Amino acid sequence: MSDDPRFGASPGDRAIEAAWRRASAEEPSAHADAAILAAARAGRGRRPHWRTMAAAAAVAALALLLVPRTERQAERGDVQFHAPMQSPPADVPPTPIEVAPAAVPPPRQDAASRESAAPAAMMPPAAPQPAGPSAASGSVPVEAEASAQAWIDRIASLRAAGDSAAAATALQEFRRAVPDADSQLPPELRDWAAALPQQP
Amino acid sequence: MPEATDESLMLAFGRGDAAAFERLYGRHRGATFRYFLRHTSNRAVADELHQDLWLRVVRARERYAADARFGTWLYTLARHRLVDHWRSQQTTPLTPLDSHDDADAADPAGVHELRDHPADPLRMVIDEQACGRLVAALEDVPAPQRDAFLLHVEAGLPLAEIAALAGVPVETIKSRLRYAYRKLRAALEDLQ
Repeated sequence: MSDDPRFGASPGDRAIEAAWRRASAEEPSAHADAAILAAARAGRGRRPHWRTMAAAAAVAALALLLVPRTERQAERGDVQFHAPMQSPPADVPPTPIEVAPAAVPPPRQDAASRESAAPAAMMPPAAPQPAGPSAASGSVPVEAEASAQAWIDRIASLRAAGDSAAAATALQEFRRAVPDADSQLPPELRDWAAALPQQP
Repeated sequence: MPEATDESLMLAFGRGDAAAFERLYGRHRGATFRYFLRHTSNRAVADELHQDLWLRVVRARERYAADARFGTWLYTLARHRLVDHWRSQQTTPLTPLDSHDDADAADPAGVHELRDHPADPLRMVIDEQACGRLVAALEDVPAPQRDAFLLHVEAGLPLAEIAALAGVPVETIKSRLRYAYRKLRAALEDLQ
């Protein structure tokens, strides 16, 4: 309050001011407080501009598009490299995954269409000969373990790319191929898998 | 140990002391928010303007020079932000913030002080209804008078600084305050 003696001195003024302070006690939102204090701590004072946010969203979308594509390219390399080391099922085309890159539609559509049109193409690539401790123990056949890990990697990468439908389909394929598939899933996939009932 | 002044806290913040800013913000956050709220009557808009104001303060930390009271500087920024908001909405208050209107002219010499009402009925206990009536009554006060009242009562600025901030003589600010007090008084008297 001002030190000016001509205002706020009379009982009437004081009553109004007291009433005003009781009536007017609103405070800014916690969100505003947090944003302001964060800006002060960071030494910046600008709100994220919509163009900045749009650019960030575009980068995120691009990453979602590129990650599955890169993974498929990597897989294609694996298939080509390891093809001589495995014997594919008789009903699976030898190299269904080898599609000319120029003909590959956008990744998310690609995954879905390949699942519906050629389920065998979703088969995970065979893994290289493992040299880890479990292989040394001999408790699990080396090829089975490697194959399971390839499934798991495939499922995890599809989920990471946001393609839940393709991941679910891959899980069902994994379950059909490996009897105790769910028990081999890493903890971060188990809850998700448990919510997806086994299909015949 | 004397409490740090606003000015010293702002200067400390300019040197990188974020804790000084937190103290400064804690002192003024409610008043600046309510300043915008009473002028806009919209919590979301007030929140946005409040946030913009303080982000401006953060941006200006290294340029701040304590040659004026921090409060005066802060509410200068606040008024500018408010005017920008009204411009962007292509709406202006019924009376622009710094206009001279009939309320200013009604008592130009400042001879009728509120203290001239000795038998003031407002010493009564003021209840919740009265509080709501006060807030509504201030919404009906023209923007220049409302602004003077908020800067005086909410922000605690001296009359001379309000006058400098508004670019009008001190007597005009007194006149505006009298008008605002009278309107609020009338709102409470209606309850009796």
